[in-house]
Amino acid sequence: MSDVHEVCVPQVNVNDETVRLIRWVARDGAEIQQGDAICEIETSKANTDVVAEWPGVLLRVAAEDAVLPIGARLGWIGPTRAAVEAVAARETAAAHRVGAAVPAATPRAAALAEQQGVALEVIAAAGVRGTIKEADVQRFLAERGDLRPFAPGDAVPAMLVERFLQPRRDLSRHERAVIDSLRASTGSLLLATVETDVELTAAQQRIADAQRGGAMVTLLHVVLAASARVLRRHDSLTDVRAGQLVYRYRAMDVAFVMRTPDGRLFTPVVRGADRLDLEAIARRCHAAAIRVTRGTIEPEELEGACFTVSNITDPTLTRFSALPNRFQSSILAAAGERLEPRVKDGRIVPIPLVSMTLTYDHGLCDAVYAAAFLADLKRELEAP
Amino acid sequence: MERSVVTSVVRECLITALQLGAGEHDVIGPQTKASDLKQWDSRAHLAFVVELEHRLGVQFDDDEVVALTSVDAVLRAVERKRG
Repeated sequence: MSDVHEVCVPQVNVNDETVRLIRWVARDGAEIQQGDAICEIETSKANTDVVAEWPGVLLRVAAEDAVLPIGARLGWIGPTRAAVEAVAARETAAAHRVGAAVPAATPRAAALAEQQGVALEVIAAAGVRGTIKEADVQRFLAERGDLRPFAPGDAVPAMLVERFLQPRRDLSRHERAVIDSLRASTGSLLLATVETDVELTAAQQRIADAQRGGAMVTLLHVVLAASARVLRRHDSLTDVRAGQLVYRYRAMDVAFVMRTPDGRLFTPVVRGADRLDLEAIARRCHAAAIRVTRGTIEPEELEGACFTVSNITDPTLTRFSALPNRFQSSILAAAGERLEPRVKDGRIVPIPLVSMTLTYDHGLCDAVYAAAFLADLKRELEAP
Repeated sequence: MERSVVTSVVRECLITALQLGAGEHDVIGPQTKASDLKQWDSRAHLAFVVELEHRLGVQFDDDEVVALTSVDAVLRAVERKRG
């Protein structure tokens, strides 16, 4: 124990009772030197680094974005990972023995925490208030990102494997990344959807005009451009919740879902999409898609979007819903174009339509607000 | 590579990228435009460009990729690249 040291939230400002852990600078399990910055905290006056007072291996306990009281445990530093984990486990057990309050948790949350080897006290210390729920544990695990990930096989009863299932393949690294990202995102969102049909006559005219002018514009680009402009008037859809805070993106950087020829999903970002013309958006989308496929896309080109557009043009698909990306709260799914009979000027004529489904976080806006965005988007697309 | 061969390769690439059925192959010719084919969307365009680059041993830049709006535009772009 003498070689293992507890890292606590320092008292930077005399009047502060809490700080927010902005981010970890040192990774969990890193070997650090005395004086190294290990994490960044936000006080009432400024952001500041917490530096290591001892050299050794870091075991992170508190989660990023947690609001922590002064003196709360951030983590441990010791000579080896095994040593700090042993001390952390003993401390947790001791807290149980002396009758320290064990955080209340739902049975599913407790079972998941136990399965993943995480003490409920650690989850509570990360900023969870009230009874710990399964979603709290999932969020904690996703934010830590370094704990044993869920394996789909974990949850499959042995009887099914013995009698009905056979192992087929391991998830690819890319599939794991997509699953982890969406799980982290949707674990904290209260997802709901609204949808509408949009007439495409005007959009198709714009596409035809652009293509005649020599620019390969498609429905994806028209929808992305219109969404970015309309989002300026409905910017709550671009807010994102994290812990106790609501953030708003500084710019209308909009992502689009693309699938590489070998079937991998990516979401490149078009920066400042609300200020670009249609041809510029098409150019950037094509260029990013090519870079993704060639493997030359930079990681930052896939980050920082406030909203995402997904377009599946299969004509047999009438509607679908999509899951918001991590650190976003909404996504628009535009399905395939279809023809439906409508009465125009007293005659029945086929009208090209597309169904659009908006998935949003009900924790940040309600269905009336989400529907207003879709109505505005429909107007923008039908009569630009 | 002669223009007729290039035309044939471009046609095959487009059929592959757009996943056209056997009965739809005849609609592809030098005058075919993206607006003639519902299947020619963003996903298909990416697949088309990747297939062209692979088969013809060329690499299109950003300006060229967005300008490939017809078979004729593709043929002209390939001719420029091959000198």
